[in-house]
Amino acid sequence: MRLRRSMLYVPGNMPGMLQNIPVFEADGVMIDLEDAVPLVEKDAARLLARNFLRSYQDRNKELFVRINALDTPYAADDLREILPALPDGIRLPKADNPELVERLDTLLTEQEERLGLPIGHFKIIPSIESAQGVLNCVATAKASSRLVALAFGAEDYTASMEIDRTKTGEELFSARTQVVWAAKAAGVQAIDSIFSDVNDMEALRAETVLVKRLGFTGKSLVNPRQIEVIHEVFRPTAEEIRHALEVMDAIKRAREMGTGVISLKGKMVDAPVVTRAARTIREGVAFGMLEFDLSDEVIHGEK
Amino acid sequence: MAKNSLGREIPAVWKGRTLDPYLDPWSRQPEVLRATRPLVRRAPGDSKLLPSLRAAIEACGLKNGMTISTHHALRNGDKLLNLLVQEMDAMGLRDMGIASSSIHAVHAEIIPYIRKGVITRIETGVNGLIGELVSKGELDCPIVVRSHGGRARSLVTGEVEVDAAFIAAPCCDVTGNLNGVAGPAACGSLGYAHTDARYARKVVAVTDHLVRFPAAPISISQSDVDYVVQIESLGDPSKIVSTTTRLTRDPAGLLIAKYAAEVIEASGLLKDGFSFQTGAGGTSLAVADLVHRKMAEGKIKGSFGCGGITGYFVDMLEQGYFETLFDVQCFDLKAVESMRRNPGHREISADLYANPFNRGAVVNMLDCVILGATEVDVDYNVNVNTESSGYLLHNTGGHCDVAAGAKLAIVVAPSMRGRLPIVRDAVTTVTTPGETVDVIVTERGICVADKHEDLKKELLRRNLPVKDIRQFHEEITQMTGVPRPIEFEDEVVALIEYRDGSIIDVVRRVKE
Repeated sequence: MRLRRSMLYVPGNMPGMLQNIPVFEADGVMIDLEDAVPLVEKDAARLLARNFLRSYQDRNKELFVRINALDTPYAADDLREILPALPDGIRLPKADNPELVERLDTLLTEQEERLGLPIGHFKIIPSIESAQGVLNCVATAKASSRLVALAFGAEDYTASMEIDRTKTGEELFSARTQVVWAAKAAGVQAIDSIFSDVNDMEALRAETVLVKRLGFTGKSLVNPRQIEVIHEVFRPTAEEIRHALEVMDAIKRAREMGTGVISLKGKMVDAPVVTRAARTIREGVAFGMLEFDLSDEVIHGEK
Repeated sequence: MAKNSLGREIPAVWKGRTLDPYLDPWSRQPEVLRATRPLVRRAPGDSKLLPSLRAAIEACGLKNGMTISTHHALRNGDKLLNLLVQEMDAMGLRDMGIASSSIHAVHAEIIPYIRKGVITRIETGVNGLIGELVSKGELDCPIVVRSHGGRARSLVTGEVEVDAAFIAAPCCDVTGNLNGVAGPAACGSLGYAHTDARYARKVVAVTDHLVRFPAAPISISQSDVDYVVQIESLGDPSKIVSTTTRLTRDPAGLLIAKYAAEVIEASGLLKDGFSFQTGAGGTSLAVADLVHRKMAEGKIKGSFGCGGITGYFVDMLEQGYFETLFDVQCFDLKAVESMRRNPGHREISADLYANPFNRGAVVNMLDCVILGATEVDVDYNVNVNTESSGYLLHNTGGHCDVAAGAKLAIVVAPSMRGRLPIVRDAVTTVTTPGETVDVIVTERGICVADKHEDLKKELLRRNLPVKDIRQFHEEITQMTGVPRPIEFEDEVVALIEYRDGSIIDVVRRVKE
């Protein structure tokens, strides 16, 4: 499981910030050519991002580039300059419908053929950030096999809804739920929106706890200072891991007794409980918190 | 011309002084008796109060060629040194030396008086324009840069003779008892001035807050003070507190702090009895904040914090993470307030703090110190005096003193500044010898001196980015390119004295 807890935006036109990309402990970085870059700097940002990607040989994190929306005059140039420098994928803004993702898929395929790369090399993370995007996201999530995650963009979404974004985020609840449903149904990850107040770590923590509960697997972020809080929230606690291991142990005993249900400390353990425990263990393994050989047999029992 | 043990060319004689090239941090021994000052008898009813600085200068018997001192606890808010120099000029005094504990940017006002010949030598490190102009050859005024401990040593041994010390006294009575914790220019500790009060030939307390006898608590006592002068204002209180006593918000600075705190933890020193010093820079404070949290998590009770004291250390004292603060200089008003009311917050002299030539300085008891740098090199030598321009821009402070004293001296710095790498083949100027530096922490890598093999292993075990300093130097210069070397003339414009009085480096005039 590739971790995408923290996806850090870095403005493509800021060389000082680009050069620090290798240093920060985000799971992934999204070099931004879109909203963070003023129109007069689109060219410069594209070249800076390309040169940075070329020089960054010893990569220690996943690298996406947020290109400009496909219906702008910049997107084609973005792709032409950036793809030869081999980012891991493209973050597609304003993915209001599945056709946009399909179009990007075609463009990426063309470039892969031109560059002699295996088809499917470049991944896609579409941003769901309008009312229309939310309504279509179930189909959008299934529009390309390159799609590894569905991202929610609350800033543009609230703008398209003509509402204000609050720190508590009640106004985002339905949209977030829809994005998570779409992502889970398509078997991809779900990445929540940025949190823009970089000095309010408590509100960031509260929001991250909320979206984790809803089912998001990560968050976009705008400042490296936010990484630590987000990682803390998404990391399973030692207590959760201990419980998950107990569940695994209990279900093993149950199966030895010829049953699929057993009581652990007065609570029923059955298949869905085991599936959740398996997820916790998988996360724990991904975060380096424990080693555990989690085969299908362990989770589901022998056939 | 001879090379010292770090390969720096040191002239045999400079401005009439025979120079002793630096050999190592430990071996140089004092060979003199403690300096002294004349005894004086004061009868009951004698008044020490004089009407003006001019009257005090006259009473001290200052003549051409003599040396005065002030302390720098008022930092960039200090008015006293400028007033004194103006007054000495008005009185026709020439060829005077300044042996203050430091010179700040605010003292650029004395530049015209240097040009005029009123001031012809500075026996202390300088911050700001004076050093720059001297480096460019635009100002003729030899400078001897000393650390806080080294300056105390130079007064105690009599190498530097101060004819009259003018001590800015934020709170003072008519007999000369004084302290730094009250009055409009309250600055807290007067630790640097303690040495002057004991070794200068004449001592003048200058105050803008004259109180009824006795001015208590007594930081410097009436038994040491010759005269008292009241003036309208000692300085600008808003500039007395250091400007940078806030945690950094720079993500790279925070990452450096996080690594530094992990180094401290990994060193094994972070346990009951832990002692610690940091400066007031944003990254240093962020380290202090993280260490504070680690102490809280581990329920660790430290012994003392030391050096320039900030509100962050005050919090740690008040919450029981330190038993004592040894304060030679308060960096913010919270520290001033704490020193006033908390007996655990002790004012100490620069001598007790860091002098290598006494029977044991507080720095020798330090576990860990966080230090800054303008440059470091592959031999772990550190420069804080000059910058990549070659100009002398900063005083040493306690840098080489605490590095020598502490068990673990950690230098924190960004891997590059502007477009220049922080790690060089050789630093422009050696302030602190690599022999006394243990770890260099940047946002891109942690370099550990070879003598700490165990620490290196432990950091690697914790998955921290430990790097060989030469490889790290290569890695950074690949990004920045190799900076064009600065060209210097032969002329030596300043000495960098090591804390023991040997010459660790010199500053040469920059070829313009």
